[in-house]
Amino acid sequence: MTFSLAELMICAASRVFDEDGEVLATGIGLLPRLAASLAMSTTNPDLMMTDSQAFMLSKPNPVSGLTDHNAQASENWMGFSRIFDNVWSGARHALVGPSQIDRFGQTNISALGGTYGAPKIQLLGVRGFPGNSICHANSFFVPQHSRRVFVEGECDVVCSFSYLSTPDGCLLRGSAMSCAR
Amino acid sequence: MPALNLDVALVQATRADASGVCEIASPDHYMDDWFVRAATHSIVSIDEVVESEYFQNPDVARKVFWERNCIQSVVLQPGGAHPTSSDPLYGFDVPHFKRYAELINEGGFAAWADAFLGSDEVAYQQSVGGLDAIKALPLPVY
Repeated sequence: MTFSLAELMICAASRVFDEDGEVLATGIGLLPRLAASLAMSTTNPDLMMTDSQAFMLSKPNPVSGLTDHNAQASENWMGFSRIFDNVWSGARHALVGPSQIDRFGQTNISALGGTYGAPKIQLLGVRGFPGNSICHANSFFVPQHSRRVFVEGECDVVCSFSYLSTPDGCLLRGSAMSCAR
Repeated sequence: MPALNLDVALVQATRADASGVCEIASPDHYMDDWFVRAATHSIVSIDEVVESEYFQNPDVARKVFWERNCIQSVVLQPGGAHPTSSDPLYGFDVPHFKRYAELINEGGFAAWADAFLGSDEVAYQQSVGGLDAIKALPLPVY
């Protein structure tokens, strides 16, 4: 049996959702999104997923070629504002690709180099990372293994908190705490 | 964290009557309901104006996400959401976003304003291809 590296990574990444039960799976980027779709279609059919616009789906949408949202398997309206109701409940698991990740489990998608006021490269900003990291499970997808991503010391901008941030050195996983040390 | 008390909110709706009852027919009204509730003065820009009887249809009334006392000004401006979208009437203008980013890089906001803004909305719409071109912008599919 032959398979591509991308297919191997999709399958491996999909396993992070195996034990999640009925939570919202959010895969950002092509491979993380395919990993979430694969998990929902195989190992964890209880997963929930949106159409990336305003509806929840009972079956994942294809990642390309969709011409009409009316043809999808919508379950309920899920506007942007309502995503935060879900985030704050803890019933979500995001699989995202940080630009930097450090040994403490902190990540960065905001800015690189320079100073906070005048970074060398301005990226997205912290977006939902701070809230995500204190509310629900997060997994990180890092396809390029280099010192530029796995930084020495700490991330240039800390966007998501780490196991060092909690008194007992534990990371949030779903709504329960599990020890990472 | 203390509340942000906005002086002014500017939001887009599909249709409204003259008293400020707004229909958002788009799949999502995003945070617009929070904005108009937080602001001292809320301005709604609409693509179409309707009589109040339009809202007697309960399917339409379900697409009204705040009360009319949240709105202080109604502006009728077909195509007024450009270069962003007013789903389901028209999508956002991706080529214009790219041109905007180029001009901002070259000469800041003034470079874009000089190239497109014009003296009024008619002039602006002419500079981006006209109202018919705006109305023909395809809806996004994710």
